[in-house]
Amino acid sequence: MASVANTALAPRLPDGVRDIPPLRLVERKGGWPPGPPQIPIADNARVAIVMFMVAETMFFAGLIGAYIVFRVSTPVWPPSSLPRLPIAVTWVNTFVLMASGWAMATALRAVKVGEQVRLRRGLLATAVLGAIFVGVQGSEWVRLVGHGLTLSSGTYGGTFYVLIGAHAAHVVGALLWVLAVGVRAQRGAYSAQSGTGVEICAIYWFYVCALWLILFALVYG
Amino acid sequence: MRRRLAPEALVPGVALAALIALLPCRVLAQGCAMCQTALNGPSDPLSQGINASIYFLMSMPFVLAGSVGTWLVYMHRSRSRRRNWEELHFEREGAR
Repeated sequence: MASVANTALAPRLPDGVRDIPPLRLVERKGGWPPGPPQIPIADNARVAIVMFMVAETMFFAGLIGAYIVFRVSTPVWPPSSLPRLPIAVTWVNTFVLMASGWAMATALRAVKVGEQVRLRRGLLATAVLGAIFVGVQGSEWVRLVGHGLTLSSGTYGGTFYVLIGAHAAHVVGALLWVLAVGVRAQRGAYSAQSGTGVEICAIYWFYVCALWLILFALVYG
Repeated sequence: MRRRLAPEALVPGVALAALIALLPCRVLAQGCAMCQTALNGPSDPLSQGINASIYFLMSMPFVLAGSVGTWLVYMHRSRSRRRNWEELHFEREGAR
């Protein structure tokens, strides 16, 4: 009963503050002046994934920079002798990838409230939709190669396959990560208090989805 | 014992640095040897492509640093609000 009374007396959260899990205090070791325990503003895992994404962004910025050089400097783009890219199928595929992002957001919401079934379903849907995206991309590549657009088809073919291929490789990597998180979720490794593994995986998946929107607009637009 | 430097002592140095930074001086705009040999002036399409690419790549570190900085400030402010709320909560519980 005492705890109920204390909960009733607890002040409400101010505006803009979400009900996040309790903070983890870190003991100050040998610091001066001595004070209360320090509270990190972000987990190590979150900082690590942000730094990783910064490095990835610079990697893709280099590729996009090369693409801009060739595209701006070429009078006719794409070259008239090469096949056109499949816009309609890629539009549908883009919606598939965005749907996978929505499924991942569902899994993320589920782990924050400790709903295990919804978490597993969300991760499974994310993996399936991500696999469909990669599969359709692969089949379109096979068709393009059949029509004569290869890696050695000048700067157009080279930049297309390198840029889109690099993104596809990242989607495959993220997909393996989602599967690994899904296996751990199946074993009940995540809860409302320990869902960081799902969160950083979701952050990377959202990053891959957002990156695709930029590449799609740039290469297919 | 180390003496602390008075803020007024920094004024001449800052003023001199500002003066040097704002001094107008004419210099020749020049590219690297690679660009000078490969490009045929500003109207060359390849020059325009490289220019656009340079602007894009030059902006990326600023975009990334700004994004990460904004995220850190957001997290700091969010945690501060949360900590204030927890301290208030603990004080009320302690008072009971």
